[in-house]
Amino acid sequence: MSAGPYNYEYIFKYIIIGDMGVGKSCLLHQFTDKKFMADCPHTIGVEFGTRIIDVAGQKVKLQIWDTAGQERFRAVTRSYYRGAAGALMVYDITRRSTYNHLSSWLTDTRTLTNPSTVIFLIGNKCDLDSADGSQRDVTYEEAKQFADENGLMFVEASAKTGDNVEEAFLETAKKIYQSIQDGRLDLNAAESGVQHKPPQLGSDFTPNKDPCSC
Amino acid sequence: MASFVKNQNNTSVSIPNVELNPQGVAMYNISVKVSDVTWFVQHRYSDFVDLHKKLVEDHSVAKDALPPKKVIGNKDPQFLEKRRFGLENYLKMLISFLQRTMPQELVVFLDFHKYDTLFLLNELASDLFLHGDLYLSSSKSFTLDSLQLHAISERLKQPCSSLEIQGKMQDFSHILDFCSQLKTLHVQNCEEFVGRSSIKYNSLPFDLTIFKSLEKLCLTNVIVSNIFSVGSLRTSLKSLHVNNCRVTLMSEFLLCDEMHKNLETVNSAHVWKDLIEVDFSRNNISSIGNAVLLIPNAEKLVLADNKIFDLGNMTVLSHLRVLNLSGNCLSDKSIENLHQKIGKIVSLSMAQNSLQSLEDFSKLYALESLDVGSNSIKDIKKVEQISSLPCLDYLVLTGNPVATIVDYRIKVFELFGDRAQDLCLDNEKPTQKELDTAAVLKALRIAKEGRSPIFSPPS
Repeated sequence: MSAGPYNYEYIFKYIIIGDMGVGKSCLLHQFTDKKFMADCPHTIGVEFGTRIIDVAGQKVKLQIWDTAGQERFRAVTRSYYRGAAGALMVYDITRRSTYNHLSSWLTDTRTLTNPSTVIFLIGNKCDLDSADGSQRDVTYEEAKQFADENGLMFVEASAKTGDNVEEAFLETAKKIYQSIQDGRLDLNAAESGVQHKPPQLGSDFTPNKDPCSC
Repeated sequence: MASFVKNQNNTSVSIPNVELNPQGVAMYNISVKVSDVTWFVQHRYSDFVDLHKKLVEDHSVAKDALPPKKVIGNKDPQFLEKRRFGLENYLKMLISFLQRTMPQELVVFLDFHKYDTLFLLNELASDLFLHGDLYLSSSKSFTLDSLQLHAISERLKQPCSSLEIQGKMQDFSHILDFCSQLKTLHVQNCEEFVGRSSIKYNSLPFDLTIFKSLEKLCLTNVIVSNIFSVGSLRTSLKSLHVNNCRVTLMSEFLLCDEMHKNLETVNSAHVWKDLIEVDFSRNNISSIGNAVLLIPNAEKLVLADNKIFDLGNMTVLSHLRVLNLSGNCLSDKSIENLHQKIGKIVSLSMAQNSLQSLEDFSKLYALESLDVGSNSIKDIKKVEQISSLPCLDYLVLTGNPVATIVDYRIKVFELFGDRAQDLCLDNEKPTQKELDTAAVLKALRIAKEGRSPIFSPPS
């Protein structure tokens, strides 16, 4: 059991939130498959992705819930905040409205998650920031100030080029891991969004699944 | 399937009757009804006592709520009726008192974990959390039924229930985590009804979007029109087996996510481009038709035990090497110009059809294995038509009238001449005696025709 996808110590649960069309699913796809989906369909309800990463020498499996940005799915997506260890809050640097809505996303997150949930702010689509800044609608400084005022971690990233995508997911995980080390996050609490890998059974255990003969 | 979360106020429990089992123990038949779904579960009085004990300890149920024990005369019909009534009221009280928490003991006692979306998924999630990695690393395939797949599909449309996060082991994430990594899935429904419930397996729609790395899918006894989305399967699936699913056209599955199964409007997005092995055995397919356009890269096609009489447009399957059409309705007419359709075929089975001639096999020059057992081939001369195929080394003719004529094996070997020793006929290599006799016969025939015999020493 030492090799490959089954070797990890912890499971962290993430949630990705933000307005419709800011690139939440593309960020997830870029992170899990290292690919950019050019014409990504609107998410219906929720999507799911997983990847194992390395945090301070420990293997951690991330279970990531990607939520629909559309208002009509809000009842479904809100129910996923609970039990998330990390929340990635995404806006589009070329659309000011998506930035303006951050405070309401933040209120939701603060109310519905637990106090130890790590919130990471991502300004997506930074590849569209041309030299003269024509497409950019939200400055880095402005967003950085918002993040600092609210105690959030922040980067500008691009799901298209992959810039800073890894960093956002990994930094969040590091912070969560740090919380565990400091004892601020209780692994056993029902809604911490963090759990240990299940205890491994001995080799005498045989799964009661049929041998597929076809 | 039942959804307690959606129907908490529309859930009722009753004990319609009590019966004595062969051992003389009184068994109470409990009926649980959640909206329009009903199921039955049977318990004896001592099961109620065990349940009650746990509920009193952990969930502050009143200690005197359960009808008391009685040692003597406890099989008296009047007493049983009185107790039945008492136990029924006890269960009704539990459901109304505990519906916000639904402790696991009560869930299992009333079989909610077998029929209800939430509780069934809780059970599956903890199994996959504990053993999922082991299944993925050691087991070749994982089996789910329509009920479980339906529950997952339904759950994805609903918000997380407050009943769900009781323990992190039961987290729905574990199911999706497992399914997104699974390589081989077997969907199989064994019975018509789910356990002792009114739920029919084949009335449950589901989709396959959560299986993101699936390479092999086996459907057995599944109504494919219940599948509403195949997600990313078109790009990941390499091997497909649809067996005993009463399919009449392959497109019923291959286009199951399309409202109109019209092959004229399909585009490249509908093509199963990595599908190499396709098995639609034991269905009701009568024609292969144009569905092959959707599986252009198939190398192995198995359509055994259908009703096929028409091979249709098989020329598009340029990679096809193995074809199994045994147990169909093929006649000589259906296989006219076979070499133009499946010229590169290496292994072909057309056993148990109605073939009388082997003429159309004579130009399948790549053929190594041919099974035409149990057809209507009568004359040994017909076999001559395939004797010059250069690679043929496995031939099945048994079950044909020709296999009953005198010296049948020797006559076949004679036709194959020098290559007879490489030919495995009806699963048996020729004996030296058969080869010798065949060689003598051949020499005699040549002499009779007035030509000088050419002997070639056996190598």
